[in-house]
Amino acid sequence: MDPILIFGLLMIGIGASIIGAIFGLGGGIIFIPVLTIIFGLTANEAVAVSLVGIVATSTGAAAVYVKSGLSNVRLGLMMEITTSIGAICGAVVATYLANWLLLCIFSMMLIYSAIHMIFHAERITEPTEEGGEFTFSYMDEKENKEKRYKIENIKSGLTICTAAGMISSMTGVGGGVIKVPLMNIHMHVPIKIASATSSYMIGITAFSGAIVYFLHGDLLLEYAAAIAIGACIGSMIGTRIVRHLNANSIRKYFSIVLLIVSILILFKAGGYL
Amino acid sequence: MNMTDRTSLTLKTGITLGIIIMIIGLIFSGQDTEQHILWLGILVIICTPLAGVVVTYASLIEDKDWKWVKITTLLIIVMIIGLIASFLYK
Repeated sequence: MDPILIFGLLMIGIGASIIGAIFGLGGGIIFIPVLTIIFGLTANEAVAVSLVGIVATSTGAAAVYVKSGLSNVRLGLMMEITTSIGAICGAVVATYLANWLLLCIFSMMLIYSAIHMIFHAERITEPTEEGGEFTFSYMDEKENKEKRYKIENIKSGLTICTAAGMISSMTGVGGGVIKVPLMNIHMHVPIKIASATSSYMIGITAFSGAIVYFLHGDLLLEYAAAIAIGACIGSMIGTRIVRHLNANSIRKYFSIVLLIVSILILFKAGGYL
Repeated sequence: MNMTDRTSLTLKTGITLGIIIMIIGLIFSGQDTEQHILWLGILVIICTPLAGVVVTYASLIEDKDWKWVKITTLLIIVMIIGLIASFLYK
């Protein structure tokens, strides 16, 4: 394989996964257009390579976040069930619904989330002294203090998560952009926990997709390896950057990312991506 | 070692091992063995999140945290259904 090509793929992997690791996104929204437009891969090849990149990004980030307590493994496991059920249902009904319409709805949801994050301060429920079943804590390295939080609206959150999984599998756009605002805005999970938990969950979701392409032999191994190595390096950088960011900064930048993603999705709906 | 430490260690080990194997594969670029080595490295990377869930599951059983054992069992069942459906419809 041409060393310049390997270098290019490594750089794409690093860049996409830095953003992915900070905001709890897989990076597919970056990988797929770049692989098809710049590297000339077919849509099927790009999706397969992208899924390996997503697994590498999210797992590399989750390895660090789980250890530090930022990834809430229990919340992730619980939400992953409903997301996966939604994804399976979505794959079944996808053929009956117009893709452009779904993409437009998806885009509107992201714009709403972005505007909400810009104009509303983060709402965290302070747990009582006795705590409770859904009370957790984590060490905020930026503020150098332990913070406690209580997860609210669990049932409705899980229901919305099913819808998120469904829309993701119907449109092919990853669920991180929905799950992070859902956890942060609706379930009152601190943004750092929401994005780190999303990273943990995305690895599990992407595994199911990646293994199917891999075992079918649809994967360009050299491309996937170069992207995955870059993604692992990028995720290490991303997790270090998060330590130096406070919640307000992450929310502000995340809302910008949401607006950019929503525009990209509208382009996709119009057939330009 | 608690559940989160074990899960984190599993993810770190899987990612590190996968990267090392893939780098070796890319060094052998153009040779017959390259594809086999890359195949193995990518398989390790892809299966790492699953290994993380399995280790979490085992830790929860060891801790007798039955509520979360049930939840994780349900997740594993849903994942298996999803995988079977994907293979059938791909």
